[in-house]
Amino acid sequence: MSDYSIWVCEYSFVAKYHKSGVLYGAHNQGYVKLPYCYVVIKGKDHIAMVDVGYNDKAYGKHLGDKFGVENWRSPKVVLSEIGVAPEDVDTVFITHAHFDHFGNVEDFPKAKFYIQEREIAKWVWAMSLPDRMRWMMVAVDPGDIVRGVDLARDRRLVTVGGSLTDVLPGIDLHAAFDSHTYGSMWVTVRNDGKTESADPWVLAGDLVYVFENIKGPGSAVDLDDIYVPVGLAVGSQTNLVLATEEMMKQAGHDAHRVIPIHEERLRDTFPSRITAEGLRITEICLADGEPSKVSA
Amino acid sequence: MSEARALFDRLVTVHRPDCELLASAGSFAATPAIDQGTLARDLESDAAGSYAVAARVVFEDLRRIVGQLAGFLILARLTRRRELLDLPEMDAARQRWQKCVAALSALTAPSPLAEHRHRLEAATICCGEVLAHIEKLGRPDRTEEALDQAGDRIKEAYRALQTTASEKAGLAMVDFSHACCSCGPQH
Repeated sequence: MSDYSIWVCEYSFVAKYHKSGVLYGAHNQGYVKLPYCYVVIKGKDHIAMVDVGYNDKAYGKHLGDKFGVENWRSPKVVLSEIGVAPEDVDTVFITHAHFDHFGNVEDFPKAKFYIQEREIAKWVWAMSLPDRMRWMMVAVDPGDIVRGVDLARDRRLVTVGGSLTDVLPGIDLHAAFDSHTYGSMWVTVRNDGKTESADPWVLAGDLVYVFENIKGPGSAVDLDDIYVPVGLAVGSQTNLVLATEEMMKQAGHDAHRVIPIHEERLRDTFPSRITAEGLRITEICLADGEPSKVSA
Repeated sequence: MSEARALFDRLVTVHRPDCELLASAGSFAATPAIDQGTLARDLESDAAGSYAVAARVVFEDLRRIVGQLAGFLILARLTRRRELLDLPEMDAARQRWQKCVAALSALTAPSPLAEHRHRLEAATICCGEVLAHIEKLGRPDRTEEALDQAGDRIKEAYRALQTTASEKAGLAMVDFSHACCSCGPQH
């Protein structure tokens, strides 16, 4: 019995992303396609999302022209593929404040947003540092924080201090401080509703980019595989590895239950389809009675 | 230690602006100067290029101030702790704003860019108003009102600043240099 359906929805992509960005130490190993995605969780009379992407109006042209980000589509278009409208979304979990995760809150007018308190506080701190340390505030749009002011006024922003159980029934938030960002978090769906779930799904945000972050090559140390952290982090790779271990524990050490949203090869593990817009919808699981959105 | 300090320390436990490491970091090489020739070429005249270099300092300060103040307003609203606003990080925002006012007063725009300077000035004024509203947070009967007014002004500051952004001139609202998209081919 499954309470929730989960889909990973691609809304844009970078055709050639340097592999060392997704995999620590993978220098001079070429490029990988990097899809930009958010996650939709539907069930128990809720429609929730993990992250909301970015809004093309603000800097889409710049991203396209300079960094090769392609094929951005609005949430209205992307979510219609699974029969959801942005106005239907009641809850959003922001895994971290980077522009491609927190950059489109205005398209979800009825949602309540959850973010780690530390993610806000540490960006404030980073912005107070001398200019020579500006690297520490990279990829954060002050505009997203400004929009957060309105959300807070409207009581649609909830800051979380660490872990939070049952934020929706069977859905938990977990913090990974000083890892990919200062206040990153991941979302765990206990899809049978049980405390010790036999059907957990871990939605990793950017704590895991690709499968190799969990099952990296371990032959050099006589192991089948080892954790290899994400390359891009303002915190530490140590904290990324520790978070990965915790996520894997929650997933019963079943790697395929930890979902990396920037992973192009989710299609090899889960049913999926390419939409008319050239973007992929990947179906992680279906709630009881929910028809598939990727198969005829 | 005040409760507010303890709260913020709970949130921020690595380095603070008064941390010894940062205090001794003055020996770091200064940020490399912008290539004025490139900017001038982009903006088609030496006068515009000089202006862009000077304006970039103001723009960057404002970008930081807007982000900082917005973050503080969120935390003040959600934690209901006015004391947060007495922290050194708040003081850093005030000082940066004062520096920004001084830099702006010395900034002369060639006539085609007068409107650009005017918008930077508008953003600066709005940020000053936010700081003034923040001072009122100490009065319990005015807290909600002050937060609302500060929220309105910070949005206005952001809007004004956003209209001054110019990638060509090195005035970018978001630093994408190490972001999830930055490793792809530079078109």
